[in-house]
Amino acid sequence: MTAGAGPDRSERTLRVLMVEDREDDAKLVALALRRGGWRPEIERVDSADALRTAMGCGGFDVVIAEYALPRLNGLEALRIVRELSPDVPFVLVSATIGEEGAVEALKAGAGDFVTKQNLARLSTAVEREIADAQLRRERRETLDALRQAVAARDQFLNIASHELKTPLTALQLQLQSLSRSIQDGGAGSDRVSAKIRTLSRSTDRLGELVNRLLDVSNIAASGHVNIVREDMDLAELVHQVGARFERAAAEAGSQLRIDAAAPARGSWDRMRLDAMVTSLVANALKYGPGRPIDLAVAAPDPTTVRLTVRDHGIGIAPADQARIFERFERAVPERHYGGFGLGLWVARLVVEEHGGRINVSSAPGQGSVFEVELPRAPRGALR
Amino acid sequence: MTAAADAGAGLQRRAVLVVDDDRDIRETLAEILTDEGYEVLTARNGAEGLAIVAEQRPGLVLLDLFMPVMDGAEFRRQQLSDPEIADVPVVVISAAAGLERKVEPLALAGWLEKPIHIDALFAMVGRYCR
Repeated sequence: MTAGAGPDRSERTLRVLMVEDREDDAKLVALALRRGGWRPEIERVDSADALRTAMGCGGFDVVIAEYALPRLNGLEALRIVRELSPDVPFVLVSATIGEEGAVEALKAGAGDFVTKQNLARLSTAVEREIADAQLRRERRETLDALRQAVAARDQFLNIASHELKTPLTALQLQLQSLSRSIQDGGAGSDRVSAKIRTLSRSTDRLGELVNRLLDVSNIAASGHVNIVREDMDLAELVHQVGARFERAAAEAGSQLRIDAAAPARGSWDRMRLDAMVTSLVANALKYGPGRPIDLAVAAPDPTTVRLTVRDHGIGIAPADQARIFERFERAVPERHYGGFGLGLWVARLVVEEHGGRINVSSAPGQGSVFEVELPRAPRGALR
Repeated sequence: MTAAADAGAGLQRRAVLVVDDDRDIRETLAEILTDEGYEVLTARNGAEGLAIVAEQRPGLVLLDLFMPVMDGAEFRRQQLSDPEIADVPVVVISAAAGLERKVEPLALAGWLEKPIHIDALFAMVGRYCR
């Protein structure tokens, strides 16, 4: 589109709020717009109060502001306009605007600027800014809708997991009670006992999934993991988690080898670190069954503790290695492996909330090594 | 949490009051605790619970947090403001998110997060009802 091809705007009405103290200059702007094919209806203001009042009434297609007014500077006008209406098209005009002023204005959110020596460009600038503003509005509305959808989803997850827990509690307690009475009375056959064991395992798994859902919905709603620090030993924790995985590891045909003889003490959140180690071990078992899993805790320097979890499984292609730490991501098709795709995301949040870092080195078919480094104390608390 | 044994003279030691709006939870807890030889009382909300605590003085209250009519926090507040029943130990059983922080101001004998394991339940009840 060229400035000379104006008339094809077919005399469209353009409601202009003009921030300008001189009537003559306003007339020049109006003339430039008419030559560009617009039919401008201009309301002129020259103070902050008048600008606010006019913006309050609304209904303008565009704000055209003089950059250097004695009572109201163009950037101040821009600030007021953006505060009251983030989307309305805004164009600066000036005889004096320098390159620096122009850059500053664009950074502050002006759509365009036009020098008074080149007012012929104004109508094109206005047209483009109106189209851009429309895009900005649509993008903002889409973002708002997305944010609302995410908030609604998180709230739903929270309510759903709370609701699911209640019948699950009754179910689990009944099963556990049944299992006890069979053990005590010897009344049940082996077949019944075996069935109850299977039922218990399934409800335990359901319970874990529901807990995970609730935890994730809380983390998602707050955007971060709350941590409560206490003095604790990571080596001891790794042994505890290892013991908990003994049966699952045996079933997967994997040997859990733990190299964490020396205490590795620090000020951390026990529950969160437990969840982090648990998801790394679960991940290793899931993607590396039938092969050993190596867990090691070491102290690379006096202020840091390092946990390494090594599997010898399918490995992760380089392109997928950053992605696996994001929410709902995994490097494999979800139908092939169970789970929500949340474990490593939560692990990363936990590590980062402790001021540490987590990374993975891997190659397809070569297994994966997850390495977590945790500062022993929060930053600033080192003696 | 273990200092409860001497407090609360005159309580019905073997009686447990279950306060929960969910029927399955009430009945399940009643069944398995009755099987263990406890006397179990039930209430559907905090208000019913307070009335039973005043009448029966059970050895322990198992309290849900979110209930209609009167929730668990309000039950606890009113209980503590009444010297006649303030000494009855209360254990919260809840599926609420961030339970540890929610129960902190309630000055409880203990709390169990749903889903609960039967061993943890028996251990907790056994500590107060002997």
